[in-house]
Amino acid sequence: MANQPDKGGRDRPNARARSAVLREAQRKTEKRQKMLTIGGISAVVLVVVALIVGIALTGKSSKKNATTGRSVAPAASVTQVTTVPATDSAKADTSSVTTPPKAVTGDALTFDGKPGIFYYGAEYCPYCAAERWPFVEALSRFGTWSGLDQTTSSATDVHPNTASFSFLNAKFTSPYVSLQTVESQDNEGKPLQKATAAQNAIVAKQNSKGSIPFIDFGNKYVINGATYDLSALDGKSFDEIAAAVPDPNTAIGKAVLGTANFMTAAICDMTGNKPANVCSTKTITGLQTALKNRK
Amino acid sequence: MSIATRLFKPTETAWKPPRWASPISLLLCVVGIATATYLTYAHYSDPSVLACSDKGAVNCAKVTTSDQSHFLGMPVAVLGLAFFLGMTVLCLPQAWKRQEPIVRYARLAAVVVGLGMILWLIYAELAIIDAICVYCTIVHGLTLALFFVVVIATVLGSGSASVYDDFDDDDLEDDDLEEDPQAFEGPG
Repeated sequence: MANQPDKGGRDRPNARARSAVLREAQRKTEKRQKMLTIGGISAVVLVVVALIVGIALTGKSSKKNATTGRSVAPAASVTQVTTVPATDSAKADTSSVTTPPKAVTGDALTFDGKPGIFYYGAEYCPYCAAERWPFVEALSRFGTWSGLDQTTSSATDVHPNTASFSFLNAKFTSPYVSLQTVESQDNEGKPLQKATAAQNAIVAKQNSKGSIPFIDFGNKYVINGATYDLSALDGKSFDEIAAAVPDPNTAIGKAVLGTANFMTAAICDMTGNKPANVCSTKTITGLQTALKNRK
Repeated sequence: MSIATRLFKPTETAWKPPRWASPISLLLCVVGIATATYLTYAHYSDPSVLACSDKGAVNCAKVTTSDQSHFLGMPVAVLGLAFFLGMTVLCLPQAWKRQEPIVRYARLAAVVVGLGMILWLIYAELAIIDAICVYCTIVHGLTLALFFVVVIATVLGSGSASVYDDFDDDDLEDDDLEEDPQAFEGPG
């Protein structure tokens, strides 16, 4: 009996101390396991997120080139189109312009408190492709473009692969007018931008046949469809067209600048002939008269 | 013991989630509900109501009207709202305290599904739609944060250590000491 542990006395504190040590060791082990679990799960999730973002961005860049063909328009070409000297544009006769803007009636269209211009088109549409060239040139007389992309019209429609701008990412700032654009489909006919309810109301009122391109100049003038024969653009690259635009002696320059002059005349009618250096030229005032007489 | 019994029977080991789990997860759910409600409203009214750029890389209307804005025929905005409403119920203090494993399994499963969904949507935005929606990105961030909160709280709240938390020295019987006295001998 002398060798038996003292049941209620000396060894009981040792047992308690031992169990406390065991508990502490167990807690530490478990805490370490939990931290490892949390760290492992977090690392896996973050790696998966990073992989998906990486794959998506890589796929996007290759897809951009392979399918839609849309990419940032070369700065040099944009400059060529948006800085045509007034003296050159004035030389372009309007004989190539088969369907000038048409006068319409309606409440004055305004965006952000300024006279509003609304473009509705699609990247697949070859007539929209043709119309963007004079549209970009004409508006550059009233403000500044940014974010212009280049694309081509549908490969399977008439005038296939007509090179042009895309307004998908474009912005236009001007002290005189405000612009809204909708590219409803890409050049494969897939949905791209959806018009707002207000924009749909404009289309319903001024473009009942649903033609594209549709351009509303402040509810004063509209363009429904092509304004010139775009055969001149057939087979030309974006840079080739951009290089030809400033020259009124080329077929492209004549058609684009002639249409741009008509557009300018319509816009000047919206802005109260501002700015004067653009709107007071003999060419523009003459076209304003022509537009009004066309009523 | 059947699987159903295991799922619905309170665990023998104590389930004790961290105190911060419920308030943080609830806060994320509430912000998620607000954002998803805004997106759902825009979906059923007019995408242009979203206070967001409609040009360039950030283009909410382009994202919310894309083909990928629906999943199995349901608008993803509505699915997002349903997700956060469900998570709100699962993240109430009473739900976090429930001892039945089924509750925390359901919460874990929900955040895993949510994580999978946002990974698909992030991919769709970057690779297919080619635009980012600010409000969608907020929802993605909230879902990711909710995933981490739920996973971390679940890991921290469960485990065998809780058995020792409830273990009391007074539970030691004198007979236990007699069975193997060597085991309780101190050093030396």
